Amino acid sequence: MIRHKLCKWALGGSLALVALASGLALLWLEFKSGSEFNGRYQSFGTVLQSDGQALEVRHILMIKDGRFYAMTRQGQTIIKTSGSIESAFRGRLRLRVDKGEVAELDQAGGMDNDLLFNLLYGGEAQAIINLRPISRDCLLAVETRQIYCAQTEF
Amino acid sequence: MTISTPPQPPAAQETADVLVICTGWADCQAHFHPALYQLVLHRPGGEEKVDLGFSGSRLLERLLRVPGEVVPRDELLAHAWSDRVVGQGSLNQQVYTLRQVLGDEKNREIIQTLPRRGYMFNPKFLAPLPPVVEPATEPDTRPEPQPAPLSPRQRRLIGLLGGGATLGLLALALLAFINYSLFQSQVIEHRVQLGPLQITYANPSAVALQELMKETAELGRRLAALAGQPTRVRLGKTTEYYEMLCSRQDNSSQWLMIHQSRLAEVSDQLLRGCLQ
Repeated sequence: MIRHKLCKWALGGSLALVALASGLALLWLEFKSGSEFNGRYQSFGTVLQSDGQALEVRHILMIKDGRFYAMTRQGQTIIKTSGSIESAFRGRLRLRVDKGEVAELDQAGGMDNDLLFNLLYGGEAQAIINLRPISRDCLLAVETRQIYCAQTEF
Repeated sequence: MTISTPPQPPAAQETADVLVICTGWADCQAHFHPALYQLVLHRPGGEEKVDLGFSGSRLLERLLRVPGEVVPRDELLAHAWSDRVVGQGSLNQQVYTLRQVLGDEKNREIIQTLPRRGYMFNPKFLAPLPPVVEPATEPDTRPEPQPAPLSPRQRRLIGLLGGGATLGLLALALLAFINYSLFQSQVIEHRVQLGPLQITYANPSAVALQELMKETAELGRRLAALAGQPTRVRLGKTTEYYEMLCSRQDNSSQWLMIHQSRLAEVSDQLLRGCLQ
């Protein structure tokens, strides 16, 4: 009887190990380190503000060996940020801003509050920005609503 | 047959040993029960039990241990009369008696004499064992025998298996939690095809998704009318802005953000700029 029970345990353990191995294999297949995202991303677009003014905006992002460097030009306002890739998993990225700098902020007085907030948030040290895929080649920064589409890899 | 102070019959479990010998008579097999010192002759008309005695039984049993091999006379004497010293005549007499019982006294084919060497049991006369028929017995009420306990090595192995699997599952659960809490922002999508235009509506909540589809219905129609080539458009909404990402056939992309107060007033030029 005891051996029968232990056999059941061994069988259960084996099944659990198989499940574990399958899970780990899946994780391994799905996992992408930050370096897998190395490359240059950018996007171009237009913002039609509440006052009817159309602002041309360009986002540029470079990822290199676990670090990122980004620039957004929104009308006359420019913001540049840099930081590290905190983690990457299943096509998603999590960025942590180390430093950010906004140039010509006085020109941003006419911006809608949402746009201004996005700019300032992205430039704040220790800010977290999650990037998730929204199309085959493009990532969306969830917090700052910036779009980055893959251009080149290196 | 001569019986010389036979010891007590062995325990019951030993009586299961039966050897079947084909005798010199047609349609007659002899079942040898060494433990009972007995030979049972099975004939069509019935069976006949013959007591071989201790020495006769030991003699036959020793020969049957090695069918086809010669057993020296001295060894047979020592085996069959282990408790006393007897002469060669006793051995000859016992062999003769066995041959008589087996119907082999004339041909001497079953127990063969090899002059100056000994005797040999002819393996051709050894029949295969009959199939064992389980007697119909009452249900066994004895307690089930306990299995042998596991060795320390087996216990360690099972412990390692169980521990490893548990730790692994915990690690998996932790990873799943991290993945869910850090990366999984729920987004519900709904796709609509309008001519060359494929619109994907995306929003974190189903209610907001329905509102988005309703609010941008006219925008969708305008976009479909303006799209000259197959284009994929992703439509979403934040607090104040509608977001539109246009992905063209050549894999180039452009986006447009429209303040909610300006949705009805957005010009075709801006929409074309995103689509083309």
